[in-house]
Amino acid sequence: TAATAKKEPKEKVPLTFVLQDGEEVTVDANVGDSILQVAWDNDIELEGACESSLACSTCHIILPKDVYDKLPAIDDDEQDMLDMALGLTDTSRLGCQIHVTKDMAGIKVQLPDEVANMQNN
Amino acid sequence: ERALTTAAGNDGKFKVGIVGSGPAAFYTAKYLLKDLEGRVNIDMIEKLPTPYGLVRSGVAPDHQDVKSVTNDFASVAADPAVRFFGNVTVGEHVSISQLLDCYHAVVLAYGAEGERRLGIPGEDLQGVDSARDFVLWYNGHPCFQTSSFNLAADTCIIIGQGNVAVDCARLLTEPLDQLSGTDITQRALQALATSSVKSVAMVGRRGPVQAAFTIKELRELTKLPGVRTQIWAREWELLSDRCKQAAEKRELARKFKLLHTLVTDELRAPLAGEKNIHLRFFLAPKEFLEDPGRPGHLGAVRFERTRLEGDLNKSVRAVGTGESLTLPARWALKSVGFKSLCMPGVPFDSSRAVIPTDKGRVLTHVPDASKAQPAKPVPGLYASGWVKRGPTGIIGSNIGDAKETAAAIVQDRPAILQTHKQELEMLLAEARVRVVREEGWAKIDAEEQARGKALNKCREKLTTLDELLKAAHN
Ligand SMILES: Cc1cc2nc3c(=O)[nH]c(=O)nc-3n(C[C@H](O)[C@H](O)[C@H](O)COP(=O)(O)OP(=O)(O)OC[C@H]3O[C@@H](n4cnc5c(N)ncnc54)[C@H](O)[C@@H]3O)c2cc1C
Ligand code: FES
Repeated sequence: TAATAKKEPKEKVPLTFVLQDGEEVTVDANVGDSILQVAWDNDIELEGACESSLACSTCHIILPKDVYDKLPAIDDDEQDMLDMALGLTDTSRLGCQIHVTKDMAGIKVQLPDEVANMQNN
Repeated sequence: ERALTTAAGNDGKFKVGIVGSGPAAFYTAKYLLKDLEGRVNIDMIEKLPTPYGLVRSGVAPDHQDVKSVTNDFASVAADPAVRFFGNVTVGEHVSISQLLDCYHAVVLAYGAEGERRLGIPGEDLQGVDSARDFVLWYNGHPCFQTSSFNLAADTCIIIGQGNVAVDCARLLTEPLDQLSGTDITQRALQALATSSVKSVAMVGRRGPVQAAFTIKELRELTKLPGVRTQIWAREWELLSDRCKQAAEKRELARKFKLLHTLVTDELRAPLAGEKNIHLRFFLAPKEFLEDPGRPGHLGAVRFERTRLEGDLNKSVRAVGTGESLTLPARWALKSVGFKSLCMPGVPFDSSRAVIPTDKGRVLTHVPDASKAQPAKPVPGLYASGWVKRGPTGIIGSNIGDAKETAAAIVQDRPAILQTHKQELEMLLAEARVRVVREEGWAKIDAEEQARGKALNKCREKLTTLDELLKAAHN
């Protein structure tokens, strides 16, 4: 029932962020939270300049291909923003638009290296 | 004497002065705080009484979600290690060499306040304005409030196709209710309410593949209620096969496809109750023509048809074909780009209009293989943002840039031995500057929000230096 659901702590799954320098940080992510929120809650350096309103692209993340393929297709608005991100890949998404699901347990989320990408530009 | 050679300032902290308070300044401060937590003090020295640079005075008022980034900047400013010194113009009230006496490291993040010139006849005619001035006017920048714009014209020609041009085209055509609750100035809102502009032509000297606007901004134009955005089939057909192939590249393919949906056989005049935006291509502006009936006023713009030459990926140029085309209009906005200005005492690359840098460190001069003297870093001097990179990209583009500069400072820190000989506050007191500190900005902010509330807007900006200083020192 709703009452018991409230009391139950949020379900968590482990998620690993791969930082710009290759360091891996594994955190407990609340199912349902956006990846951006998970990063913020765990002091992972991911910007979110527009506060999840799909108006920046500073929350750019790179997903493993199998995870990317299972997500609902990306819509025009997200793809439009993503097109402006530095270091875009075929499995890039915006972290504020992707919500943690149970079957994401154990996946690796790569953060793009803005500094290296800037120099290559 | 010994104290003068310790690695930190008088209180043991590493002192950084940042010139400017736009995204480049705030992101640099943010990453410095992260890397040197508890060991650094940062002062931001800003020309205006207000922070946030172009997020306040450039980003369009109908893009409030983009402006949300100021919440993040405000939390950086709230860090006890960060101080704000507004209403202080570096190069006028204090010099760079004075700042170098105050800080271990000085970061130049003063943006790009200048403008590229078109350099064609007729630029002084009434009705020929700069898009920068228009943007800074509707956004309430205190130095641009006395301008007036020919909103009585029925057609406006915008020269240039970057995102700033798109902002102008959108502001001139969108329904007023998309602006009324925003932080656009009341003055601009009222002027736009009486505007006669029905048709906007955004003209580029190159083709659709080269147009600088981003797809998000373009899509927004195509979705404006009551506005028809069109591309003339005859101009679209000027696209070479080479261009069409280039457009298949991933970053361009979607934009190109969206552009293609706008192609129409005839560019129509707007129907009653409707407005038009025409995206025009392969037209180089040649001359602003006087209206024969109104001496001194703009009547039309003459263009020359172009075609593209050179490497499509890098150095594509538009060259004239000799064919002339004249578009009548009583108002034109030049939107051909911003440009950083040279700061006295700071090396400057005048051909690119940026400060010469290596990974954020300011260099003695532009590196040049033929020069006998190799370019070396100027001790203690760094740059970040538009003044380092040039005036392109979005707010997020300043992140990697600022991280790089912050990393250079952190790396150089152990080698920076001099202690500061001066205090900024004393220099400013001597120069009798009416500094706006963080409390002053907080008062301006509160006043603007209160005024906005009374008008059902998120903010009503104070638009004169007098008003701003009065509110700050109230
Ligand atoms: C019209 C316009 C619209 C834009 N819209 C968007 C958008 O919708 N989304 C987006 O992501 N990006 C947008 N941008 C881009 C974004 O604004 C820039 O990337 C960003 O502001 C650059 O940051 P900056 O800190 O280098 O420069 P600025 O933001 O220009 O900051 C420079 C600061 O330095 C101060 N300064 C200048 N000279 C001195 C001096 N001598 N002494 C002290 N202080 C000084 C200025 O007053 C200013 O506050 C827009 C840009 C423009 C021009
Ligand atoms: S936080 Fe801005 S798009 Fe995700």
